[in-house]
Amino acid sequence: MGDIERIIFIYSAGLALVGIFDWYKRIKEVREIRLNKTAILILSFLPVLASLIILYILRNQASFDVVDNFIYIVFYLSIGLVWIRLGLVLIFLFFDLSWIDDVLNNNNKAALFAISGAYIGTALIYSGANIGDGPGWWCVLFAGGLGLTAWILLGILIDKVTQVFERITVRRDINCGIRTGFYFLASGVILGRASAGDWTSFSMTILEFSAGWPVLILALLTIIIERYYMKVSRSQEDEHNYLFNSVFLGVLYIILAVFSVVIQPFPENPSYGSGLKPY
Amino acid sequence: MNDNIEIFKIWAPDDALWTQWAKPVLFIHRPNIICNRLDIPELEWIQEMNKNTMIILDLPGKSGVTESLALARIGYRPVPLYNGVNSVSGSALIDVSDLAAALFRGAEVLKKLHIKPDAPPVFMLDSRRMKGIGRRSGTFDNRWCVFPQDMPSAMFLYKNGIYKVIIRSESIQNDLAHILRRYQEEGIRIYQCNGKEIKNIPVVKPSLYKSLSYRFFTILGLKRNAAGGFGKMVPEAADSAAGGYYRFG
Repeated sequence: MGDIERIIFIYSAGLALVGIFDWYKRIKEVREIRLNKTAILILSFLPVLASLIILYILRNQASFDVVDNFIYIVFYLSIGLVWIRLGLVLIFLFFDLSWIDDVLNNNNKAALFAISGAYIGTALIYSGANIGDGPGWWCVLFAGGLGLTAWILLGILIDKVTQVFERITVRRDINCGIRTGFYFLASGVILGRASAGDWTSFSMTILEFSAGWPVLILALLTIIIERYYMKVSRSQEDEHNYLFNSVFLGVLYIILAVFSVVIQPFPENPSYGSGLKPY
Repeated sequence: MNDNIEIFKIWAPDDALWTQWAKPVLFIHRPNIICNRLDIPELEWIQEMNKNTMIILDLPGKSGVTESLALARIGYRPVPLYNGVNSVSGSALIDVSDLAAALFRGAEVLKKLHIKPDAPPVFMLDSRRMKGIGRRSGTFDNRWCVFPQDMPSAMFLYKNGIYKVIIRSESIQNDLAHILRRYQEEGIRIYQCNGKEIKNIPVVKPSLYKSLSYRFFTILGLKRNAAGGFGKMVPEAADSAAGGYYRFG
């Protein structure tokens, strides 16, 4: 581990610990006033689930010099947890979805589903960026950064056409929250795959990122579906009747995402050998 | 804490339609002053409850509480939206101790009234919420804003038979304009009342209207409280424990 890596390790481990402490502290303090057990349970479980996903990838699909190295696994896990917290800030800045204001303070269940999907979605992008061999941490950040940027831009695009975030935060439309949560998750799977693979160069990473093209189909499908529900919710008395449909569509997003990942092989760099393990 | 929650539950009973918007922030700590008497005014501008009218009281301090109780007497459901924490140590930018004390005392009055679960709402705001210069070292910055996420959507109002909103205030503050403009665009009629007469008003589009980053940048200038709402000590310049990296998200 070089000097720069050591500095990054110390900072990221510190920030990750502070972030986790802050996360659970807020949940605990709000619990005393608002007893929404579902939200508390889901929020408490999210960092655990995200850590398990990242750990699984680091132990099984990461670079050859990481998979069996405890220090490097902790190093990349710490960066991952900071990454997710940064992701939450970006989600608030660009999507106007706040886990503190909407979920904890306003008890908004629609936002709970959307933010949960977004939380795991950002973890999946980071995990994907860890797949494959590469010379260092900056490869992970660059590839993952491409994924996160695309994920945010598509979220903004979807909102421009369908106002999903206003419907989630202001109208508290639970069905919209569920569908958007699944979309975040599914797009995280696809963009995580697009960020994966052996490192060759910056330009090759950008080129290989085009493997994430199915996310455009997913985004288009989401826009069509949300436009439909925008009209429906204005004309129907009770939009809560659409719970089953929303879950079904969410599962469809996930199936589409998994299928698009499975059909495309990971890009490999022959100089690292054939190191990627099959699913 | 349990007593405080019980008092909050009087203002926000589980069976009331509008409870989901009530803020418990001012009920977290017992106020350090006692409100012995609440003078509930006779309102000149409204005589009876209208099922399709929602009221927003944007008044300073405890006057919002007393007017809300006056409206509760004619059948409206008061909903406290106060989101600035009451400082237990003093030196708060906005002194809300009289307001908190009035809420605790007002609960006794409210308890005796039988308000229907689906009664139209009276949302209570403190018009002083953004008064004062923030972030002065050694002060408790409890300024706050109301966001569109803090109040029901126009569609929710329509679905519950509300087509008219009366703002009882001297002026329409910028943060409230973000909410009222949304209502107006959806066809809800907006009226303003200065305490005597009610007049129909157009709501001008505020800056950063419907911008996804509006709330983020507004909150950037405020201090969140760990237990919800807004209010936190502004550390001295030399205090290294200022922290705050994780205020957002």
